[in-house]
Amino acid sequence: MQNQTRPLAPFEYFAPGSLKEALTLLQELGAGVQLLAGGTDMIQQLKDRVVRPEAIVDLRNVEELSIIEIKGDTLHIGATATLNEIKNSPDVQQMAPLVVEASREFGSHMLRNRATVGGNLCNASPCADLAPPLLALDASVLLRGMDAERLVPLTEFFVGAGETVLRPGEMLQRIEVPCRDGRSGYLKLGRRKGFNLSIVSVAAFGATVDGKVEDIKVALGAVAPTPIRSTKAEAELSGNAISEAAIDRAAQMVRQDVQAEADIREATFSHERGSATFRRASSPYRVEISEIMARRVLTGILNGEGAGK
Amino acid sequence: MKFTLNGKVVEEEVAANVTLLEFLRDKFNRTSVKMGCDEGECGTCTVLLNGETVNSCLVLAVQVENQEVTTLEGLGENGELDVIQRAFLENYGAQCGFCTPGMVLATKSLLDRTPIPSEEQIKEALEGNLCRCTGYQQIIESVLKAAEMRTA
Repeated sequence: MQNQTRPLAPFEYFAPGSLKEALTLLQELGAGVQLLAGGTDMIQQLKDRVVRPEAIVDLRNVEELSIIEIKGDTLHIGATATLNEIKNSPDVQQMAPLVVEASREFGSHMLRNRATVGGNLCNASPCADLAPPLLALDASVLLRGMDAERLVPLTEFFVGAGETVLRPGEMLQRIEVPCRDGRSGYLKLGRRKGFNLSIVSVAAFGATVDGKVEDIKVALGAVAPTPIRSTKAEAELSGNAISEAAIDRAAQMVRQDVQAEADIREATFSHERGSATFRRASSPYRVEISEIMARRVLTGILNGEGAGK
Repeated sequence: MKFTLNGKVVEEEVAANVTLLEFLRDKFNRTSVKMGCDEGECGTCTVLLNGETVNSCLVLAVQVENQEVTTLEGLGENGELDVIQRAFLENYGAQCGFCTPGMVLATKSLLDRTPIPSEEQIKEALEGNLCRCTGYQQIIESVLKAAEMRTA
């Protein structure tokens, strides 16, 4: 602990009032610009000098970016919606209870007042709390540039720890979550019960047809440089009626995926950004616990314990 | 830059790279806002921004333009303690006192939106405020007592 605050390097500050203005600034300011949403990660990165922007564009006055609404059978969550806004939103509660469940275990109440979903995803930490539930729900992200926009599946959004497919001049406008009938489950393991960074998190969503679970999407956080889906586990669970034996095989697949990632880290002595995540537990522990957590989440879904929708 | 501090509109120049924590302590002498971890973990720098708790070490001063900021100094009137402060005092909710301004503000924000909270709700509202002395039980009792006193 120190008794002096860590001063921030100087930068120019802009707080545009509309999305168009924000995009114009983003383009004009070029490479040295950094977007600011809730700031709960960004301001720490500024203190740590992990980022050294010449200019900051604060999105707090861009109202279009914070809207949460249902469009047909898709839930739209604006990039600057805060974790508490998401957690308390009747629309999210109705259409994506899995996201609400994960939001509850995100940081502290005070951090949830500021932290945003867009910041959580764009920061691209391996342990980003909202990534696994949104991956399990097959969400996409709408990336907006000055003259074009593109809808990218969240599975393709993360490139590496701290890296995304966002291009210069582009920003994340909103998250689009397709809503189907189904059941979901979420587990986050940390070193204590509340206000926690995850050692491993597992989110899964099983779509139901006539009340029967048909296929399940399984996503994990804090096991790889990016949040991941375990497609091998999903393959074990698709099509046929989902049984305890299938869940057992799927949990084994999760174990294999997590082990493979641990092997890569071992072989490359990886010290890239995000490696702090992997110091929270040993690899053998992470492999073991991932299998157990996956089995619990999937069993909950099979037994109909997970939240509806 | 103009903003409302403890009910009064104030105007002060500030550089963009100054945190709200530094600004309130250095320019306004609001020393109830403590610098603990300086990274959003401990909650000693808690202030209310439009009535909601925030870690002032993770907010830029320029971000509160035209907003309402409340520090502990903004509680109580005419030199009297606020009822929440009295509840903490009478129920041993403070020992060394370093976390207390944050605890009291987090309690105010909670009771303003949930006048009669459950123990679970108290734990949730105060989870970002760490106390190394009391073991929390007396703090929870203080909050429950404050709720009682405010609704009596």
